[in-house]
Order: sequence, then structure tokens, then C-alpha cells
Amino acid sequence: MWNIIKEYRHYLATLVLVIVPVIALNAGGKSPAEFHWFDRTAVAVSTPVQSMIRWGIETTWDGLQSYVMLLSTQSNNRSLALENRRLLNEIASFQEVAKENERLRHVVDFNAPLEGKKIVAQVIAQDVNPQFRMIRINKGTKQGVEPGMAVIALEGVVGRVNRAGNDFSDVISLLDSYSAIDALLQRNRVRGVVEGQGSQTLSMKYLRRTDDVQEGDLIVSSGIGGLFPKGLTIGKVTSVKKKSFGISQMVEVAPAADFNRLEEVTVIDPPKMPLEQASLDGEPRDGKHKKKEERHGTPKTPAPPPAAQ
Amino acid sequence: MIHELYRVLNFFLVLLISVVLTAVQSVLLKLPPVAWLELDLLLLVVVYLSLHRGFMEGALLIIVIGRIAEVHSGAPTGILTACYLAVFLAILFTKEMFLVATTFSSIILAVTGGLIWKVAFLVLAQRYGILGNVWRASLEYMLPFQLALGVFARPVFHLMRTLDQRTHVERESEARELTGEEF
Repeated sequence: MWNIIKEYRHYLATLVLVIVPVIALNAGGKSPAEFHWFDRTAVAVSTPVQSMIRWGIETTWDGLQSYVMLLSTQSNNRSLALENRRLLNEIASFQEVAKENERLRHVVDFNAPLEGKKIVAQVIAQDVNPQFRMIRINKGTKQGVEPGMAVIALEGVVGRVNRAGNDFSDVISLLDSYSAIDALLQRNRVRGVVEGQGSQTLSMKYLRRTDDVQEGDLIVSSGIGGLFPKGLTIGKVTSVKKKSFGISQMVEVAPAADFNRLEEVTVIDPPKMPLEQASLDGEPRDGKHKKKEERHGTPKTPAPPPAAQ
Repeated sequence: MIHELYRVLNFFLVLLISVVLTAVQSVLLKLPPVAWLELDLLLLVVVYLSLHRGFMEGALLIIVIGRIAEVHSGAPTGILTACYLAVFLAILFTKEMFLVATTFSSIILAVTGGLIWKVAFLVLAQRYGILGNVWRASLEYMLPFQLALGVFARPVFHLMRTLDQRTHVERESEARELTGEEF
């Protein structure tokens, strides 16, 4: 017996090498939410290097902007002053709308789901593998970041915290192929699911062929699922394709946030989901979908037929 | 005794280099002007190790390197390790058929490694149910990915070779190739 094992040891070892990762794939699924000692050691070595490189790039870029690009400062200043004046006017009008909105909320006793703590963090690195779109931020459990929290930027939705270390966290971005978010077309409230493609664009799925979708339509989060507050910008429709057959249409979406130039993000607590919304999202799923949901928080489930809202 | 110490030192230095290359890859190579290259420096380390390490040591190193990559990625656990191991095994089993003596042949091998990596990744993505989302992105940048591997193969191989020379592993690996003791 021993001789046979010895004779075929290389083939056996090869078999083990092939089988082990496949077992890991089946058992582990998406990256586990916590770091083990080896993971922490690897990250402890790489994070300072990442921060150092990031600092070097930013310092160089700032230096270039401060000294070399001073030529355009005057014209920039003038256009910014004009824009500032225009924005101040807009703010004044928005304040009026906000006040009116507040009054109306009180009237209908509406509970705003946007409350909760907010943690501002800096992006220090991106996914090492181009097929996946994780980003690493410089805030972790010490600062109150926990897996499952939503991450947004000024431009719109960024993603969701997948795992958190002491001083850093990994965020699965909207672009990741595992990402899915329930969304609405702002113009006509048509509902669908925006999914990552592993590339720079997103796709909006489960839209009926008859739904009115046009290029340039703004897509916002629907608030269903409880992770992202309702009304956050996700992106804009860039192309709509309808095949000659089928009941759905293919909608390509450009994300609002520029993931290549993302520097600062805000981590927010997932708002508490009202019971009625929870039951909307809690439709029966098969085992595979359930498994995905456990791993990624935002399940990729077909949206129920869009209701008139 | 000194030789064993060097060997152990080399093992850990390879891992350290891998972590540093991962950091470079996740920050510097993600800047807009070069991000489209989608360069995988760890894959080049894997190709080098497939050529210059024995079966057991190479496999162990690549499993750990795979894990390092997964820690810095949103990829499902095991998928990157499996892809790197596929490259490692493919090169290990076939390297005796090819003469890998010149820089050009190393570059060709690195590009082939990239191709094997992509195929392995797409097979596993299919197995894991994400092929529908990633195949387009994966194939879209195939050409720049391969091109970048070819361009960066030389400096990375040079870095690894220098490390091996400093820790006296290179001499041993050459001797093993000559005597045919490799795997």
C-alpha cells in the first residue's frame, strides 16, 4: 500500500492540489466576513505599502497641480465664482423645497430612514484582480465600521462593507459581479435590479419589454432590501437594447461614482427596514439564492413586477 | 545548516515580495492611465516559481500566494488559488518539452501562463455561476492583459532571479534542472 502511494505520490499530490481549491470554493463562497491570522499578517504588511504608494501619488499630483498647473488658476477661479453664485441661488430654492417637504413629512407622519452614524473614510487600494471590484478603505472596526454597512460617495452609491479589519475595511463595489441593488428609474419609478458586470459599467435587469426606459434616465436606489436609503443616485442609462424576442430589455448603466478616481467615501449604517418592506424582499428563494444572500447581503433576486408608485 | 536557513529565508522573502507586489498592483497599477492593462504581477511570480521550484515547494508557495491575492480581492475563496495552481501545474508538466533559456522564451511562457489563467478563471466562474457577468469584462481586456504580462515579465523575473541568487537558491535549481530531478 505504502509503495503504491509512494509510486504515485506526485499524481496524488496533483489531485489534492486540484481538489483543495474546489472544496474551498464550495465551502467558502465569497470572501469570509472576517480575517484570519494569516490574512491579518498579509494585510498588516501590505497596508502600509499601499498607504505609502497612495501618499506618494497624491503628493506628486498635488505638487503638480500647485506649481505646474497654476496657469489656469485665474480662469478656473472666475468660472468657479460664477458657478458658486448659481449654486447659491439653487440652494436657496432647494431650502424652500426642503422646508415644504419637512412640513409634509410631519403631516403624513413619515419616518425618514436616513438616520444613523456616518463614517468618512479614504480609499487606499482597489481589488488586486481586475475581474472583481473590491475597494479597501482606511477605516475599520476601531472606527465603528462593520460588515454589511452601506458605502456612498458624493456622486452616489459605492457599495457595501464585506469585511472589516481593525483599521481597514473591504468594500464590495457596485461594479463587482456579485453586487446587486434594487433600483428605480427616477423619471417614471419603473423598478429593476442593477447588477455589476466586473467591468466599468452596470446592467439593469428584470425590466419588462414594455417599460419606458430612455438613454440618460437617472437610476436611484429603491430602498428595498434595507441596505441603501431610498433615492441615492446609482447611475445613468447609457444604452437600451431590445431584442426581437423575449420579454425583457437590456439596459446598460454608467455608475454615478467614478470608481477609478474615488478618494473619499462615507460609510453609513443600514437603515432599519420596515416590516412591510422586509416581507417584500423576503419572497421564497431556492438554496442557491439564499446562499448568495448570506454571503453578499444584497441578494440578486428578480424584482417583483413594477408597481405604480 | 546555512543552506537550509537560506532556503527558509528565500521562502519567506518570496512571500514578502508577493505581498509588496500585491500592494503595488492594488494601488499604482489601478491608476486611470494604467488600470486598463489589468496587469497581474503575482501571475508572473507564479510563472517564475513554476520554472524554478520543485513540486512541493512550488505548490506550497503558490497556495500561500493565492491566499495573499484573495485577501486583497473580493474574489470568492479559492478561485484565485485554483487559477494560479492551474498555471503552475500546466507549466510544471510541460516545461520539459520546451527550452526556456532566453528572455523571449520566458516572455512567451508568461503570456501563455496568462492565457491558461484566463481559461481556468472562466471555467471556475462558470462553475460558480458568475460567468454570465464576468465573461465580457474578462475577455474584453485580454489583449492588453497579455501584452502587459509580456512587457513586465522581464523585470519581475529579474527581481526573482536576483533574490534566488542572493539566497543561493538559483544554483540549486539549475543543478536540479540538469539532473532532471525536477518533479
